[in-house]
Amino acid sequence: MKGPRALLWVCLAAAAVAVALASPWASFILTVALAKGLAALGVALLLRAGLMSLGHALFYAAGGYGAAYLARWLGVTDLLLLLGAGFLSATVLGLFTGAVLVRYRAIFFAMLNLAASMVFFSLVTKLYNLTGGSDGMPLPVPTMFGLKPGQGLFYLTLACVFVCAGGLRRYLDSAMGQGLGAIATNEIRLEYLGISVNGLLFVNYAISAGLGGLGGALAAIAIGHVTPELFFWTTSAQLLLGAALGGAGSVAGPFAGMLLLEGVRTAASQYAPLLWEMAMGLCALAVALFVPQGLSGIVDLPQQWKRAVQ
Amino acid sequence: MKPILKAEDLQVAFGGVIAADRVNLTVLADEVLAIVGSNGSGKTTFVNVCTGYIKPRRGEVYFGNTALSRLHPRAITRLGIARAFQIPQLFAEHTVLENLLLAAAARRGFWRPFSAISRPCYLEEAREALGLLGLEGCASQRAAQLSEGTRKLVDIAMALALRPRLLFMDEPTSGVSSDEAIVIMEAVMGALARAGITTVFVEHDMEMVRRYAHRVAVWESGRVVAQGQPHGILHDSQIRESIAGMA
Amino acid sequence: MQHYSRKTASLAGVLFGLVFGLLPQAAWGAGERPAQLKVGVFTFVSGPAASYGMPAKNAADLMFESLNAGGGLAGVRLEPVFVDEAQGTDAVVSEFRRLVTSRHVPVMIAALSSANCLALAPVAEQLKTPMIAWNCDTHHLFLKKKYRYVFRANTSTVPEFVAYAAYLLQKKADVSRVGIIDPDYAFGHDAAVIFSETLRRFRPDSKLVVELYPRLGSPSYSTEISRLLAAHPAVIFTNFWGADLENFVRQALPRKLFSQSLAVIALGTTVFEEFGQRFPQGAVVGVLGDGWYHSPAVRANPQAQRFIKNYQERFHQVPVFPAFKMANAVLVVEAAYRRALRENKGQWPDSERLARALEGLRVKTLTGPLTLRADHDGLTDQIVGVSRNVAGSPYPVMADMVRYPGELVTPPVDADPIQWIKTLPADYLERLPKPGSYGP
Repeated sequence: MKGPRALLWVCLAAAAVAVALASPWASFILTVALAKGLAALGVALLLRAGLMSLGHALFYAAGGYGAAYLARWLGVTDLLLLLGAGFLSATVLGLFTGAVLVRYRAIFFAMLNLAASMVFFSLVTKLYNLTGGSDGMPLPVPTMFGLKPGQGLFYLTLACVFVCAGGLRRYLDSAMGQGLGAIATNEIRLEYLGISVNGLLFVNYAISAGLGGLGGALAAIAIGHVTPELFFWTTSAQLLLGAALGGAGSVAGPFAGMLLLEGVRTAASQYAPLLWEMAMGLCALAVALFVPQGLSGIVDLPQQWKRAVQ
Repeated sequence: MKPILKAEDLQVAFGGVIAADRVNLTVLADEVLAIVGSNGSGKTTFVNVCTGYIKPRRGEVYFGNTALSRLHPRAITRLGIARAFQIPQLFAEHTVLENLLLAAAARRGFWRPFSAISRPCYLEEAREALGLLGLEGCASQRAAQLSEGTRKLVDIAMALALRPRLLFMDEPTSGVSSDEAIVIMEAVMGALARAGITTVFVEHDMEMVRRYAHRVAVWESGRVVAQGQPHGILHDSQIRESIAGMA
Repeated sequence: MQHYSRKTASLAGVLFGLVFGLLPQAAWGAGERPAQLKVGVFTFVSGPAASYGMPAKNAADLMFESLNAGGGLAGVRLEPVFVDEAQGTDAVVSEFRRLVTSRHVPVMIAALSSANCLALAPVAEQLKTPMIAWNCDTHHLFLKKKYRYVFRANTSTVPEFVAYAAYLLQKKADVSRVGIIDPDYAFGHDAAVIFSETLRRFRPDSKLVVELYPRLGSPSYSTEISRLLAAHPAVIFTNFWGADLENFVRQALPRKLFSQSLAVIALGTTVFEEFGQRFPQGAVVGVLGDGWYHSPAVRANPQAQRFIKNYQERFHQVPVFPAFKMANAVLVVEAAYRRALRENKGQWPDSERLARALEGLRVKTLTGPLTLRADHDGLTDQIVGVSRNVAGSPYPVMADMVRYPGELVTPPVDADPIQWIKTLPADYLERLPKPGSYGP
């Protein structure tokens, strides 16, 4: 079944490109939504292991700030270098926090992640001279091999999405990937198969931090500015919501979830600018009530109805 | 026969309760050793110490020349000691085949992020382990949907897929109807004998002990009170009383 | 595997739907006079900052209504398109782009928050869309940066907080021991530096004895108040605002903080109504500009009087200074269009012509004169006074007022503001108008 699936992804890419060609604004919002989708994919990875991170904004923000600092300190404007800086800073941060946090489970894991991100939020807000405080830091208009990329950022984001989604799909089919679901159901058995559960979680934590950093850097470059609100728990909640809305069960889920969130927010700002919060809340509620497995569970609905009728 | 596992002067206490009181016990290579005794006599504690789940207060367990008491369960598993549980420990959301694939991959090559778990070499090993216990028919069922007896077999199959040198089984037939129990034990013991795996099993059913054990160790209040050939031990009226009375 | 690909198929469907739902509406020919003029208005209508954002939104509604009632701009009706800044910087940037590229909004009044202004300015520049900042006051906005399309209809933190220090110095208040309690973000830190540097320029013996930056939105200030009481500063400066200001004043009043030290409550006028006569007497207060609804200039301005009357009738509140800032920003948009129309013989201006019309624009706002300088920053006067209860008024008034002319308290274009403060001439204070010189 590899053929049809690949074809679908190609169709999706074509659709995205068509939209981007039609409107520069649509390419911007798609860039941001897909970048957030990458971070949400990282959150979904941990959800597979039964772990909910309430602080993944830490890595999303670290990606953005990493790119911003490279530009500020070294005057770098090259897109790929900025992305690399964002990815690396988030991954390194993920290695440090992960080393401590993978020992915890359930609510402790969620809250400690939240705490870590809020510590950074306070630090970045407080260290005004180093970070620009609440005003944040600008990112330069990026260049690609010395040229102005124009829509290049969008295509690069699309490429990142495809590489990461494809890579992750393969990863999830490996023993390590299957082991994630095994952590959620039976850690004891995994240990008695000779596998270090915390070691496996550590690797996945680092991967999910890296995805967060990559997404954060892409979004920050698109937006052109980073502020401490990136570290704030509301960003984490948004990523978690995107992952849950899309469904953590499939690689495409978090992207679908993030596109839905951005779409609803945009539509709400357009038609009811003063009620956007309510619209987002209702949308999340609707998905939670009617499609508890997330958007990727929509396909199972007819089957469920059939079963219910029988 | 050569000793494969040696417990020396083991002492374990939970609060005031002594669960192992200066236990000395040797498991010989290629034998099938049954551990019997009443509830709370320290049988499962012994298995837990040997597989790293509990650290002894004093004493040591040697597997060959390696001391086990300070090792994690996973390190002990990698030395070649596997364990099947009284309550089957499966990956409930995975299929039976996937459970076995994970076990096969865990033995070698687990940490390869981009090599599929359904590689032919893993599939072959997983199917082989399933075949040993006659489980081919339920390979594609989700573990959570299996009957208790089948779950026990899958649990044992996962331990077998690790190709251990020594296997601990904690009450392989508990919670299973007696008809089913015979079928399970017939399958398991046959497979173990064919694979040449040294086995230690905790058992309440004396019929099973008589049928399959080469040697019996009798536990009482954290101590090994008797060991020897099954028919000799099981005919000792005092021992029979101590086991039967409390079982 | 079959199962999985079906799942992917329907996901694809969802994605397709979303993607095409986001396609822009049909483009419209640029150049001709539009049927209506859409104006993007960025403010906070939810969250804590709505305490300043909502009065501004209300003011914008009134101003656009009265403009339209007067025939609009050369017959073109104006229509505000509001964007809630509480959505976060990324969404605000995204909305800005959407308004420009798919709704063809040609001019923006944005934004309240400094972080949003800093993030939006490069976007406005890239999209070649005139943007008029209306409340954000970070002095970094135009420092060492040249924008073609970004303007500000208000002043920066520098004149705002130089004015308070100058007022204290002119009144010969004891500034030997100064305590500062500001919110923990750029606005608070910037103000602290500007205020204390100005004091030190003329009174080098002035010492900061306590400096506190509680986080934004703290519910309790009891430890901070204890520390302020213990440090015995002669002057306490704060630029808290909104709910933070209300909480701080409410908790400090019973502990007699304001009788121990002279308070500079920079944004105090915005809570006059909440506290009524309980507001600390003799505190130095102001409006970050000239937006005081009871100033002589406002009382002499019939348009301003109409605005105040309408505002009070509709919203049952006195318009606080953010309302005036927004109203003035709308006037700036109007004036820029009128100027562009005049200078282009009645031809409807494109964004380039509008931006050129904004350059150096002088507007008689509801509250006083406003000039957009060469660096595009706004130049307005600064009104400072002290709070005083008077008979017949349910809440305090500003007494002992002074109106500092903008050009005297604002650093010249391109000057480093802190350097400018440090090198103010020795007779600077004498050249400024005296406290009490403005109004009755």
